[in-house]
Amino acid sequence: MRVLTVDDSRTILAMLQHTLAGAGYEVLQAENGQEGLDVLQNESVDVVITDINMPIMDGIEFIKNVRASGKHQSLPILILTTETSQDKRDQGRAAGGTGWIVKPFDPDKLLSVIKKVSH
Amino acid sequence: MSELDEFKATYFDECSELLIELEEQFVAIEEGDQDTERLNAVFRAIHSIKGGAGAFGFQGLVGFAHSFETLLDFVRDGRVELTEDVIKLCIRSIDLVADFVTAAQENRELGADYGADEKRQFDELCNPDADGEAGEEDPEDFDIEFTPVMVEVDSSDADAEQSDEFEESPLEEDLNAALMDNVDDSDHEALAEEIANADVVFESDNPATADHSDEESDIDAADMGASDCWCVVFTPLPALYERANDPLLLFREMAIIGETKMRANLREIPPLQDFEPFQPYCSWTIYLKGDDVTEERIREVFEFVEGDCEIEITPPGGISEQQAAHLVGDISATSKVVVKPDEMTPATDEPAAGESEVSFADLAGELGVKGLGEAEEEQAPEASSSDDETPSAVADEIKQKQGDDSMDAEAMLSDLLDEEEPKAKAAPQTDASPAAPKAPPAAAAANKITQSKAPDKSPVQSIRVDLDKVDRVVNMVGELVITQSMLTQQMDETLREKYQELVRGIEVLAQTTRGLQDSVMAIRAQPVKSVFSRMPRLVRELATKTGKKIKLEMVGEQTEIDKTVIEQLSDPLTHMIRNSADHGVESVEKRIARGKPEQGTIRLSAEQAGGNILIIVEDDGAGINRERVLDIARERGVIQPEQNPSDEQIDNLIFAPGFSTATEVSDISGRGVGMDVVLSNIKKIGGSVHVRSHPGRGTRMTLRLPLTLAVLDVMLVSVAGCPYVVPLSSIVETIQAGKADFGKTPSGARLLSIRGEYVQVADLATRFAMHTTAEEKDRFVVLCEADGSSKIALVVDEIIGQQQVVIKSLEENYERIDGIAGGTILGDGQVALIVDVQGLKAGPNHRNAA
Repeated sequence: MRVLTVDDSRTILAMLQHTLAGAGYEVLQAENGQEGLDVLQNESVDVVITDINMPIMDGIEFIKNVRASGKHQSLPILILTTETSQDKRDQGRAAGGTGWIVKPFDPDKLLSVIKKVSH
Repeated sequence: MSELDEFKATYFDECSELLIELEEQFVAIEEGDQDTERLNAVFRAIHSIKGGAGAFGFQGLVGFAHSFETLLDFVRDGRVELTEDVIKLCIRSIDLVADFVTAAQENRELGADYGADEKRQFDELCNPDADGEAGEEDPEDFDIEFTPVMVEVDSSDADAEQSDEFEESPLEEDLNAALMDNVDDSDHEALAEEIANADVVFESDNPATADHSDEESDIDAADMGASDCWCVVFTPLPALYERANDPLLLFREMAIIGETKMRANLREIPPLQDFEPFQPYCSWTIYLKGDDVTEERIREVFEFVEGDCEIEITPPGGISEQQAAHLVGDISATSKVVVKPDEMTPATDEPAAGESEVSFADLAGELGVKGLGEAEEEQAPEASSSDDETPSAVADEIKQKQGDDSMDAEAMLSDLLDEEEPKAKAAPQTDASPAAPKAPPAAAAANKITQSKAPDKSPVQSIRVDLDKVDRVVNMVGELVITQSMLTQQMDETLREKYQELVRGIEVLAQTTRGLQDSVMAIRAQPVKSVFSRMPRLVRELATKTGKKIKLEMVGEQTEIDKTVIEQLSDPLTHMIRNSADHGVESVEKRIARGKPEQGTIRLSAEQAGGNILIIVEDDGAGINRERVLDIARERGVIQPEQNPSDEQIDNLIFAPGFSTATEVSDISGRGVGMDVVLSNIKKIGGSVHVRSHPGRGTRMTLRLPLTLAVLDVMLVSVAGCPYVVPLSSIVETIQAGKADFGKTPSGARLLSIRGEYVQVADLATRFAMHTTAEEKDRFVVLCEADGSSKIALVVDEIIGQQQVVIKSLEENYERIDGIAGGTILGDGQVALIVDVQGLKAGPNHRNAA
């Protein structure tokens, strides 16, 4: 299983990497939506975890682009965000986000959510 | 370092970068550039700080950052106007965030009301009508707990244990009769209708009962025991599929919280040629039984698809047996979905492979069974029309499969989806299915890449390395340098003549070592920009507070210095700038009166000068008031009344301990510490400070800092048989004592007259209370430049030679000694003390000196 993690925070990327790699996932990283798209272009990925607030291309645009590409309509995309307000999450879902993970995340919960949306 | 500590270290690194960025952005914002991207950037920075803080449980920081972030969010979408006051509040809040970060880093707690005032202002701005509760919503709880279990969809060998448990099927007749008695139960009418209309697939515990005849069919709800069974009617909407949610996965989740049996309503499934992969043709009724089943847990399963589907949850007892029984009449085909958590296998393994191998024809056949099988009279015409239009093989399959009742709704559906949207759906499964077209490239890519960022696009590549690792290299290189210099020392004339090759080798080694050392030091070097960038804001704040007009010019921000030096530079520099703004630059009126431009200038520059970095803070203010400085110095006993220091010495008195020229402790520079703190901080990092003032024209303060802290070029000398080292950078020349021209001041201090200039003399033997047996005429004078231009003559017994040493802190290993800047270990293992030239020069102020 390969998980693409997209976040502009090195701390979050490192923690995701640690948790996911520890659970046997292969982890790819990108620091913004554009990098994320580049990775998806070249790599096959089973699950995507993306932050919303990022420079260059934010998470919402990223999800929209992924879904619009025609190639990844069924790729589970989890929105990783501290946004507690419903509207951000809804924007992410409206763009095509499969589910969400609220930061700070508990490693077990992170893994369980990934399992929940992945085949 | 534990993993958590490593993450924290990354986080604090990131915070300091973000804080610098915040400063820079707000400087631009304050100057009127309120670009949307800028506002987004500041929002993101605070957001990231908050995110990490949450992860480590820095609650104070989270709370504050959250309110701050909320304000920034309101600002960026225009709900709060970015007035000057709001900008000021934000700038102040960045400092508070920095305080919170520092506190977290130092494992300290700031008071609960720290930043409370600002927080209240945020809340008021964001929610002017409410009573300060804006932005306080609780983060949503996120509780999905389950152990990793996989699902196996059982299609043939019915699970005996389960069927035992559910062995309470009422007779169909009874149920029907009961239903008739209770038709007006409006609460459940809709559900009953839904169930009644459902076309079909459901569980049969026993393959033997898998018969189309109504009489022998088992019923889900009844079978489960309608009274203790939850009923979930789940109807996906198109959005569910568009967001890559998959009913199959939801069923898998359901199976984890309890035993499930389900039936799928396939009536909406169109003929194959009209099939749209993302259309939700199916709906399901799931019966769920288990001790731990609660509505909350069921809702959790559907958490991500809320709004993307219709869900109706009926608690046990909610479905009457009558309603359940009503189902029986409609059933003409049965199948089962038995999900047993303990038998679940990873979905990515064989099942996936198996699924993707199912042929289209198979699927069509299965679909025919499910969709058309039971309600023959209604569905038959459609079925036949679909037969006409589909390949005959498919039609055959359908016919063949008509009798196959032991089908699996989940498998069928997932197969169907897989095949219908091979690109999308199959992608995640390709790893496990070699037959799938995408698998080979995916596998190849998997081998090629382990963890990586997106393909690099920037020309300058960089990696992040733990500072500890770099320091380890620095240290090793330091030791290598010592070893090399030891080898060089061992080379006496006889050896040189005898082993010329060896000598050449050692010379090459010396060069290489030097190169290696420079390269390693370059790794630690960073532009001073990171410190300089904090200053513009400081100056603006100072200008506001003092009512002066001050502009800051910065030059040489790209000059690189050792990271440790940079870290130590912030406080002294801040203090020096404060001093310039507070005491240097005059008020607008005074400046006008003196014919100066009303705006004062503070110039901050950095440049490399040999093995040193010079950082100069220069202002065009009033200059140092020497009379007052002298008065105060005398009054406070900083110098003796009889001393008559030169102008330059007076200027430098401002760095003397306990000296402060401010008549009243001002809010800005007088914070209980004087410029002596600057001096001691700078000395700690091996630097020196020098002030030069021109009354009425301004003051220039020069910080001289070493390029690196690790290795020092020194002159090795000996005093009373003990080795000492004198930093080479401070040595001007060496003179034989016998030829030197010593004299004495009336007060008895020794002076050396050199080319008409009198220089203070420090005999190291006397100074360090050692007894030397060397004859005066055989001793040497090392003439050193202490700072800027003032000199001191050190008298030593012997000059041994030049070499490089690795500096070891005396304070860390022993304690501070006046006149000694540190220690080092020589090539032969001896410890040598590093002479603090400036400390010796400042002798009279160091009363503790031996």
